[in-house]
Amino acid sequence: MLNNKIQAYALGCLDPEETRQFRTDIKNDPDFNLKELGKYQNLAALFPSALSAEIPDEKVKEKIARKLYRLKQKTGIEVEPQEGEPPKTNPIRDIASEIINKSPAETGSDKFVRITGQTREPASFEETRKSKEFGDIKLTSTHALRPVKRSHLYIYSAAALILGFAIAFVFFSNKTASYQDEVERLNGEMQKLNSDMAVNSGLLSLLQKKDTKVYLLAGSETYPDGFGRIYLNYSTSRAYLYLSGLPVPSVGKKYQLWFMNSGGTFPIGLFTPKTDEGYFYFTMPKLGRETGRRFLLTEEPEEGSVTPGRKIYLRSPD
Amino acid sequence: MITGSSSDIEIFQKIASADSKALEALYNRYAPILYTTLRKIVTDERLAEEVLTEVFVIIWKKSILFNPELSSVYAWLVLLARNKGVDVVRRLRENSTMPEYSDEYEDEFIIPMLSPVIEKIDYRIANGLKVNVENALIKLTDAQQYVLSLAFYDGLTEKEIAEKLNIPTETVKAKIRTALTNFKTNLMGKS
Repeated sequence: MLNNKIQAYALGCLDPEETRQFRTDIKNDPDFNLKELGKYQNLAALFPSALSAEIPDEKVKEKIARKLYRLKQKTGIEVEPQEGEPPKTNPIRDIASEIINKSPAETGSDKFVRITGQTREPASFEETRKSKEFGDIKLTSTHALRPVKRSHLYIYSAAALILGFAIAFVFFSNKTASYQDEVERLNGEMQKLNSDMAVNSGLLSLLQKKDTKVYLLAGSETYPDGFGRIYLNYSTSRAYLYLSGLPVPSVGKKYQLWFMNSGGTFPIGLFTPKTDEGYFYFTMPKLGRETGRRFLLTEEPEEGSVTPGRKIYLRSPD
Repeated sequence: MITGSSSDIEIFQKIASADSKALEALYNRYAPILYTTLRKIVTDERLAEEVLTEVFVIIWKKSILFNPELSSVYAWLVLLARNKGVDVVRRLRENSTMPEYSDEYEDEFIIPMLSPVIEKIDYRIANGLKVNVENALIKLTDAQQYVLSLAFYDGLTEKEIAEKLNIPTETVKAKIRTALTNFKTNLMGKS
């Protein structure tokens, strides 16, 4: 009986009470199949690897560094809010209410980062780490320097030696950082290649099926240089959209694909190409086999539209 | 020192000792898959970025609760992002009925409790399995894929799925079992 709940627990679809009960039960059951549970948890975690990979904006990293810095301030020295400092906010709640209430024209603003101006905040994780290591020790120069009886030569030699070490340290640090950057860049490229390989393999398998049809999409008057193709398999409803020569949609906009037949016009999905060429996987809804099948690609607000707008980028030729 | 070839275990050990450079290395390695997961769950790009930020703050604060030497780093991170994303969406949808988000709540419902007997999967292994996972999912029926998506990405419980699809809860339970078992068989073979 307990083993019957393994899959649901691994997927996270038991309600909170059932989750608690399941955890208690497995603790009390020496025969419970923990290996099977581990297997299903790994399997559930693998689901997202089948999605088209998306890369977060660079500013996210900076935002995390800021949060860690604030966390350190919070746990280390409690900083009283300064006069004029913005009130403490819940960024997720802020964005959520913004999404709920937003009009398309407002989508370009960035309200995540609130810098008080009272404290310099770190731009990288490394700075946060340094401040963590060294605490909040501040060097001050309030004491007047007293004359010291040492020869100038001795002082200059020591200064030159320190300067030499400092230059060497900076040189080697930069060198190491550039190697790390290179490794990270190669890792990113590897992930992209894996993603491309998945698309190619999915497309190949689609093209090998006998019920696959290819639709051509030509550029419209708005964008005559654009070009596209749809590879659609009617038995599985799986499809790939290929886009080429189209601009990256403007802020707050996405491309929306439409299917038209004698039964009407149906929205298929929203797509955001990040370069001027790419493949996008989608599932075609079951819409029957009415005659006069055609596709249309328009630019729409990022939440999508119910009917196609006027800005048509691609369409199936007549 | 953390380098591109450092293992996930080394990175996690450094994070546990408050090395923020290690957290940055973990971010470089895992941000794409965690962000992809979150985009699927919360949809909105900016909200997904904000939740991703929260996920890394949780990793920083709670990495001590996870033993990377005995567990699956990839599963822990992906399920953590999934749980956080689903929780955010639920709070947006039904905030009044949700319990208060506290440290205890986070430890119980957001931090994944993985089985102590689990194969260790890291990002390299998961990357290598990508095509196999796609093929294993494609082989499922549309209904099986849908029910898995409702459970995993939409974060619906079995009862909620039953209400949504207007079918008995027992049927949903059976469908989930079959779907995940078939996925396992497609991916790993019958053995």
